[in-house]
Amino acid sequence: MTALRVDLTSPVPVYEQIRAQVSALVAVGGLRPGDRLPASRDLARDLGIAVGTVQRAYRELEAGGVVTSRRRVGTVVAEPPASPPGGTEPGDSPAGGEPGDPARTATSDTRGLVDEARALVARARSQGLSDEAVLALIRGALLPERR
Amino acid sequence: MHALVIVIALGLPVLIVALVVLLVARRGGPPHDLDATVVAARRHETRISAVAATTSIVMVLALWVAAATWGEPGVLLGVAPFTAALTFSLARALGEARWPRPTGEVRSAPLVRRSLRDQGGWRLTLFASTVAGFFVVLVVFGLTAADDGRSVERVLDAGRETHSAGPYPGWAVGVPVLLVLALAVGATLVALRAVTRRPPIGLLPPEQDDAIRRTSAARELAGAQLWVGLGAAAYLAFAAGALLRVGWLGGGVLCLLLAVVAFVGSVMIAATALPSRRAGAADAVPRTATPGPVA
Repeated sequence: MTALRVDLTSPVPVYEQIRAQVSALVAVGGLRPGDRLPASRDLARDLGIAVGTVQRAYRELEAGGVVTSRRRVGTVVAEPPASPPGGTEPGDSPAGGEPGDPARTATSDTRGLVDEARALVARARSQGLSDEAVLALIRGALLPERR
Repeated sequence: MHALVIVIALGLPVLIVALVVLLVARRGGPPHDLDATVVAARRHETRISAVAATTSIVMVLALWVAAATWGEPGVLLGVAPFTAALTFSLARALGEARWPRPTGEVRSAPLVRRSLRDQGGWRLTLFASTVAGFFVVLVVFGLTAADDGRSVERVLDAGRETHSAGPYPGWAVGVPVLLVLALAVGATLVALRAVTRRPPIGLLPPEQDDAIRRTSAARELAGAQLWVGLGAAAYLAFAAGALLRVGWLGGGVLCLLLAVVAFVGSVMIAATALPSRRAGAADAVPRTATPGPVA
């Protein structure tokens, strides 16, 4: 069962934590196109946070094309773009990409990459690296090489 | 007299349920490890079930005493099981509202939609079918009863001979029963909604929290099914007796068979909810390697 986890003491705003985690879940295939997200009121109650916080996260996700909101159906994971353009821009969040990034849904093409990313995380953890250190490594790898 | 019945049938559950808030009150602070959380969750769920069951039984006994003390025993006895279902569901709904709220700096929640249908499963379908079937029975008995609404008549020899027998559950009992049944169904839905919407229990993995939620829904529906089923069985049995006495053998036997099915079926279905305790809290939750202190 997919779960969200928010840290109220984190310097990252709670709505951003929700947005990043949902984006990440979509990217690795934990959430598939058509999956329905819980109503913002229900998720807010479950997390014990304000409804507006969840609504803002959902708005950001919708603006990024990760989810769509439909009347009566609610918020659902959007279909992946037909032909994803090349790669992501430097500085994109490794947790799932910034709003506007169309290449975020796990497809048959990216599934191999997801497996490799998981293997990288497992290897880094086995070597004692923290999650923040792994993220720093990937951010560094995303930066353009100096010639 | 009907007003008195309604006051008793509706006022007493409110008084009894008010006690639930005191009995199911949380004691002590929130548990701090998985084992203590499991123990506390299991204890809370068991307490809700025990208090709900006890209050519903007390409700039935109170109505029986009232029936023996005052007039219109048929109406009071007729509404008793459905008032018990109402009390049971209200008690459970209040108990569900007493689960701990999310606390702490790190919080988690499952990213899934929960619906009444998902939580209720086959029990909800069966309960709805039982209520719908009983509604039809109430209407049929109401339409076939004599003018007094308490007996059934059979006219023989072209009107020269009339056989009458009672008690027969016509509109005199049927209208109050319909009212209380509607309230009981509403209370059941409210209780299920409370189960569906309660926040996740802190520290418990989502799968185990969901298992406890399904246990709560199963027990709520089992209790409501039991009381409605028993009430329907009693209703059908009284009708069968009256129909057999006036010589309507087919109708009488059919009602008797339906009464047996309603009685046995409801008891068996309610019994199947008891093992949910293990599935919901004990077995479904993995034990930690080093058990912590029990809350």
